[in-house]
Amino acid sequence: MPKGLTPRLSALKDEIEGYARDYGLDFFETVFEILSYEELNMVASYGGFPNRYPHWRWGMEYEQLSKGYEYGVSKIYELVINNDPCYAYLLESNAEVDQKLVMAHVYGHCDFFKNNFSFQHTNRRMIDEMANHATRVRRWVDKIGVEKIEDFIDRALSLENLIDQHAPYIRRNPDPKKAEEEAKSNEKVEGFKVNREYMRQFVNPSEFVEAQRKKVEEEAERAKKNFPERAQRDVLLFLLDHAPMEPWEFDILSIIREEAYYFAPQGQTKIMNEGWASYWHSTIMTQRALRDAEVIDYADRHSGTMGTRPGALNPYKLGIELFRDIEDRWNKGRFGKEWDECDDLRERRAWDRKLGQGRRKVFEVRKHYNDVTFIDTFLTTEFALEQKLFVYGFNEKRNSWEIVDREFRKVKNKLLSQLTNFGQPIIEVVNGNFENRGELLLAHKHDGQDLKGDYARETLKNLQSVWRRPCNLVTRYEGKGLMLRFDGQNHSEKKVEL
Amino acid sequence: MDSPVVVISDDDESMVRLLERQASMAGLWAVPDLKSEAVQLTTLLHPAVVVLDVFQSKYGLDLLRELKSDPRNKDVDVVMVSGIPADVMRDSCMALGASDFVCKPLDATFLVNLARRASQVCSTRVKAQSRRKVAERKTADS
Repeated sequence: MPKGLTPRLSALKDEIEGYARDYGLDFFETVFEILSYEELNMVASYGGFPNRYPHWRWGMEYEQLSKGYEYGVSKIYELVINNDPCYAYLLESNAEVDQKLVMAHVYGHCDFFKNNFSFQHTNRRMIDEMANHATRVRRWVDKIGVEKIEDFIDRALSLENLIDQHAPYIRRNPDPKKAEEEAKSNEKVEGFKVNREYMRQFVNPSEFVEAQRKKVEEEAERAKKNFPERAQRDVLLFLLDHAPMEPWEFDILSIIREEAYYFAPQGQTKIMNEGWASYWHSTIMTQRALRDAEVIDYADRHSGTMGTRPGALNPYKLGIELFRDIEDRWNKGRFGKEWDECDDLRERRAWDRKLGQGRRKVFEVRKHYNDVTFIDTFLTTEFALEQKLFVYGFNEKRNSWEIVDREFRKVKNKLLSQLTNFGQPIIEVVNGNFENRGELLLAHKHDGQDLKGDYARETLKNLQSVWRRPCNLVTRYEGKGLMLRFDGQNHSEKKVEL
Repeated sequence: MDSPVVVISDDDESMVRLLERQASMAGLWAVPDLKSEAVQLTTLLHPAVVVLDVFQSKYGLDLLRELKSDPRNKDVDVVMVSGIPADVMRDSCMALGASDFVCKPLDATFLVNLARRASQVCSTRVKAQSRRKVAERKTADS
């Protein structure tokens, strides 16, 4: 059971919270609790929540975290949950300077959760919701049996990324009533606008109007025949709406979907969120909270977090450096037409308009961007050069991993393609009655990256077990169209024209 | 004897329905409350036990405070339920007069305890009522 803060830590919390508010951070009330490392690993293996539905993978993750901690490979300093109030867990054995750093870091996260647009649709009482999900799943376990439930959760989890990452912001499926009304109003074909009534026959001859009317009707008829009417990216929703599932399967799949949507914004803002929290722990600690005796320990922890392994991307480091770069650029006025058009390197290096808009700009950025738009907008050539960003790959001739490209555009594109759709393939339901046999047809929107064959087949198999009828997936493999199929017994594939 | 009344207050409909169904199976008369109206329902029905979720449309601790501040409801048993297994939360609930604090997920034990608590409350009430009647009769006789 988590413990409340000691009087000393409580005083530190008040101090750090005061600094954070002074700097203009705006967050929900934040409750800190203390956990032993075993408890912290337990909560962390539950994805940061104290209660989740029962599943074997939590145990597996706990083992992994515990081993990592025991062998001194990894250590979790803190955990923070996007909830109102925000809950944050501190590690009991941490030194005082670590706790201060972590608190400052946590306030950065809390501010981000509260203000970034991606989190505006998330459930702010998710701790409770997760525990409710746990109650529901346990009830099904009691009723149906643990084997069946775990097996279904395994299958559902392999489908959990088949959601529409942008669904909270775009209404892809309009309100059916409204859509019907709109369709009715569109049915009237009036032709081009006519200012003088006697011109009507010439501008819109009756044959033309008739042809148009027929066209509209045909289109409406075709739309009715399509099922779904338009391609649906939220495959899980499609399954919930149309797959012949048992009530317990429906309940569990809806739980998995709800949790996937809750976690989606955290995946879409990993670089920004960690960068923002690091920016603030660094600012608060170095400018206000740090005592002389703590400097070395702080520097050690901070550099440990910022250290980047060769060949890997550290979201903390990239995020904090980008935020600092934005602050610096907007302080010096290094943006806009004049800056972009300046070719003189000497002038660019000395450029300083003394605008002092940096802090205001970073607050604005943390509100309106996600990782993709953040990188796309603010990762400049200068930044990539300064941070020594490069694309690496495997050289078969030399049998080693090495730098493939330092060209800015390629580096940026590589980064963006990794982040788009959270690095997951975009797959849509195209037809729920494929070949008029009730089969499911999915399409993979190819973005330059082929699907992994074994993953695709396994996912198709799991999908078939939910849909109950054969499932097909059209994709592009090595530049050619390919349809993968699982009919409940066997996998097959055939070439198709794209 | 009538079934003991239990008010179940939570804004998550699936949870309330689930508890309602299970409570009915355990022989309780469950009254669902999805709109944080536990105080009004308690005053009206005088239930044996109120199951109050901490995080609902109105903050559970405020509801508990409001409920306990009314002299008519002062003695009602309130079981607080929360997804947060924290000492701090438990202490705040108990300090405000809750009879128990249960951490989610709620399992069969929760319902067994709930049924036991509700029937205890009912039998205590029946006993108190009969004692009162005896006392009233004695005063009338004398």
